[in-house]
Amino acid sequence: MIEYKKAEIYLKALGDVLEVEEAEPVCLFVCGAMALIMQGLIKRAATRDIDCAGFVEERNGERKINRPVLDRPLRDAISRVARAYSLPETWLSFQSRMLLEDELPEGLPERLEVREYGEKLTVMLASKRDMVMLKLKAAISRDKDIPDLIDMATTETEILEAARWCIEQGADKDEVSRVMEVLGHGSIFRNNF
Amino acid sequence: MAVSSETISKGMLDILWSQWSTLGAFLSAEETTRSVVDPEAALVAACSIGRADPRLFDEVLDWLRVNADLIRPVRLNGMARNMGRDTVRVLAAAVDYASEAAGKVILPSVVERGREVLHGMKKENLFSQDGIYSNEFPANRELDPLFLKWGLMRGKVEVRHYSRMPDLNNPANVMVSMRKHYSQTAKADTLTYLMTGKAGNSYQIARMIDYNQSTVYRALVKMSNGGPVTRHGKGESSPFWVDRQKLATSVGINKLPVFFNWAQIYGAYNAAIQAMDEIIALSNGTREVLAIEAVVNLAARIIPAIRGAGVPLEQISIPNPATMRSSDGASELMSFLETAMDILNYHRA
Repeated sequence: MIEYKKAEIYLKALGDVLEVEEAEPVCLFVCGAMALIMQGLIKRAATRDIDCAGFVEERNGERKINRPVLDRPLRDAISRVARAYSLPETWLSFQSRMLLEDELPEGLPERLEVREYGEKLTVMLASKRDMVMLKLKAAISRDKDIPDLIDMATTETEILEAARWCIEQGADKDEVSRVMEVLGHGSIFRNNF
Repeated sequence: MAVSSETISKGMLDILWSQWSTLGAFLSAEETTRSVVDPEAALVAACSIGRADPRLFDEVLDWLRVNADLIRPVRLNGMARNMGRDTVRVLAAAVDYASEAAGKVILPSVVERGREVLHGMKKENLFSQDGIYSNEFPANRELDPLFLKWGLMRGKVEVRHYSRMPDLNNPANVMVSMRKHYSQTAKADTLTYLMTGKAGNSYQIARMIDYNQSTVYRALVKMSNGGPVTRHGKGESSPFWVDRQKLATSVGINKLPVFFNWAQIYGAYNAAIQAMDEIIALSNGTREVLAIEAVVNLAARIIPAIRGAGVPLEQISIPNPATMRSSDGASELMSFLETAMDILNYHRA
């Protein structure tokens, strides 16, 4: 399990290796539990891996999130960090890249929180507002995301916006309602939908 | 814990002084009595770790002039090759010098191996200063032409001609004395190991004495047919052993010394000496991961080598993996090296 402090160490190490190897700069879009932990949005102390859903590209002041395509220097750097700290190779996981197959919440790139790890590595964390939307959508199909949603202490505005976005994305209204009930927001949902 | 390559280097040089004194070099150090001295391993170490100590190196040159026939060239070349090109070159230069000083050809294959690696090697000082081999030499000092031919800068060699033969009554010289008892060196060295190390199959024994497995196997089979060696079972993996005390008495040894694979030990410590200063520099920098990588890489090379180099060393605890992968990694590895050195010193005299 990776704690916040450790995640900082591993990301700094990744940035250091990329710098030493004079690799191209990389900007990771991190979502999942580590994005919440790193922003202090949940009490949970650790998570299995750091979820990276894509690479952020910044051009003319505009951010775009692309599918992550790992080149050799980045793959090698990830492996070196894994070996140095005795971590599984998947400590930086790209399984969440599936998120990009569907639409992301509008304006998400502009709301990303930026963390720099040297000159070659930037990590951009999904904001609380966006994490509520992504987590709610995930919670519809898997219950394991519900505790994080409860822990996030979402506001009425945030959870309603998230429910609306999920339905727009094609989620079943009853399913959304079921999750909202579990979250204790059943009445808000019923009053608004 | 103070971490520096100097600490390890000094510790190894103390052991080398003691071993060379045992072998008959004119060095004022307490002779080794409790562990087996390996002449080829000591010579290779003098040409690597010994480059930090001109006095030791020059006494070894003198010893080689007198005692070169005690050295087994095939084994020596193999050990030098394992230590690296630099050592092959220095060893060839040392043998070349000893040949000239003795007025006869000594260990020609060693010089030949040296010539093979010379291409592309840069000129540098033979002796290190604070672990660094500079490529500058004081203009007012005369360079030794023979060493210069090998691309090694040093002042004129002035040996004192005080070297003597090893004292065969010292149990630490059992490897030399067994070679005198048994005409074939593989037999002698195999018996030395079985007598002072532990029972094993041909692979295990060959690894400990730096021989080809088939050579050792043939020697063991011959010696187990009515000879001093007992064999359990058949096939190359079957273990062999000797009645240690009986064999020791037959060759006039009262108290058996302990066997260490010195080539492996010196190789590991030499690697540590070369890497430790860089590790310290990395540890003092801001990129912790690079220091950890260097510690982990070095540890992977040297810890199994040291722990597998003799029965007393098998007992040393493996460094804590979590500590090794932290900012204290260098200290943790250093602590392991010092513990091993304490054990080696305990079995010295």
